[in-house]
Amino acid sequence: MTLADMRFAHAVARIRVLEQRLLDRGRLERLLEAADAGEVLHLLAETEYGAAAAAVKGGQDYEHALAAELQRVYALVKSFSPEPRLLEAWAARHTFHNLKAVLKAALRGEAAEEGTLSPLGAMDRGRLEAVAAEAVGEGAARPGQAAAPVAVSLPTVPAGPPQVRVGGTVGERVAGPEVEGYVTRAAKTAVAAYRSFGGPEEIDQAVDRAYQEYLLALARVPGAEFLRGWVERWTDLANLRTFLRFALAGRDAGTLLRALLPGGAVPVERLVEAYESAPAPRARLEALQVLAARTPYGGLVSEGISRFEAEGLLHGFERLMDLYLLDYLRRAKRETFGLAPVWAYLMAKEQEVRLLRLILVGKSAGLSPERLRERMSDVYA
Amino acid sequence: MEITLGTVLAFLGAALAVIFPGIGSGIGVGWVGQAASGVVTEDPDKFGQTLLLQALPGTQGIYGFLSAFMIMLKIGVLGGKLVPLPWHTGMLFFLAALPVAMNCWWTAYAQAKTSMACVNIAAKRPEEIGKALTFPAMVETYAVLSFLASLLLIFGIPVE
Repeated sequence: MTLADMRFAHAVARIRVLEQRLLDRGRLERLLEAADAGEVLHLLAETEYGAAAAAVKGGQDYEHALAAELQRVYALVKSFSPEPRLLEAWAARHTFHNLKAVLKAALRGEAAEEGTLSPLGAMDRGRLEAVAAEAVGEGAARPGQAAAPVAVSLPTVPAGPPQVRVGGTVGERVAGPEVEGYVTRAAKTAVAAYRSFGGPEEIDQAVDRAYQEYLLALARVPGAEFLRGWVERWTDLANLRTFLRFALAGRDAGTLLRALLPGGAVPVERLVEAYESAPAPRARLEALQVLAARTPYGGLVSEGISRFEAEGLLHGFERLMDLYLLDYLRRAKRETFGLAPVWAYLMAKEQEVRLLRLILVGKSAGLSPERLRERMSDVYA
Repeated sequence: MEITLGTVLAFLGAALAVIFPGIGSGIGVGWVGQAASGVVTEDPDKFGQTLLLQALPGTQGIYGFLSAFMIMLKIGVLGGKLVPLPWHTGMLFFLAALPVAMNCWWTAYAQAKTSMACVNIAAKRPEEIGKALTFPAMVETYAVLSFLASLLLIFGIPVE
């Protein structure tokens, strides 16, 4: 514990009270047993979601209500956090998600549909559209002239000192990287990748990588050790899932290379080696198991592949991923000072909203509680 | 009025007994206050419980002040008749003040950190506040011991 961590004294104590208002397993079970989405909203009215539930019109507009609740919580936590910049990593995910939607629409010569954009992003729609328009205009191939090819290489963690001012002394706020710079660069790289390789997934991958670079730069700020651990685990799990998906789809190693993210504990080159070592999907899964056995993810990968073989879907693997990250977040319950409890609470709230969305959508679709329970991961509270 | 080296050393001892525990308690009470205000912002009903936890690191400052008070009493500051002390008697007062000055300084920090952790218990499990108070109270033991040691030493110094 450092003196810088002590600055979180107020924030952590406040978070401990807010955590009491998270939905526990028992309450989620009651929601699961509700007859329909209307009853779920009725039950939610007794919780912290009271205002959000009341704002739902016509029983179907939960997306906006849940997003509004997340926005409220983010604004609240940011307002009392001594390091609001570190929490911007949370909103940045939505910013980069919106960038993908805006870029894809811009490349089609259209405007992004409102429903595809998250209201939680740090940059407004107009600014993102301007960035996208500039990127699309800059890299446009003139008639008869091919777009500049994008070099494919192993993704690496940005070298050198982080693009941040080193803080961490008492009373000094840490300035993290500016998200807008990463968004601008991501737009240009994504457009170039799209024009070189084709396919909207190239945009997703390029933007995901830019988001990853932003996260890594932010996580290197002093005092962000917990965030660093989370980013590392999140990266590894995302890469393992990408490996599985690509192996099952029989994609080539070059495509995988562009989709893998740097900054995890399992090096990208090891993953690519394992992928190239076996040509068939089944053999590639075995190669992944062998590789993962030497990492902290050995049990998760074995169990995930077993579940995939039993169910034929990746839901089981994704639930295990959620649980793994949740276990890491639960370490924050033992932390008295520092960023960890604040970050864990934000992530827990997001997970809770995800579960509520699943329940509401499932109830609207008439799914049974058992079917919904199968899809649900655990809760932080 | 004669000011001797002994008197200066005794004053120095009294000053240290107030300064260091006072700094420790001031910072400690401030830290716990920050945490307590976080809880009370969301749940004002927890004011009483958190106030108790905030008060705990403040005791060291009181022990320091009481030790200094006893030195002042012994050397005649309070009676208006300052005793001209030989250097070795003054040194004894100075040394007698050290246990409370140093121990209470650091125990105030340690107790503040423990109290902050216990503020989180008050936030999540208010029914367990009794157990929560035990943890910082354990730290108090060592502050009390140093205070007693200083007091006994001060009482034992002969002043003519």
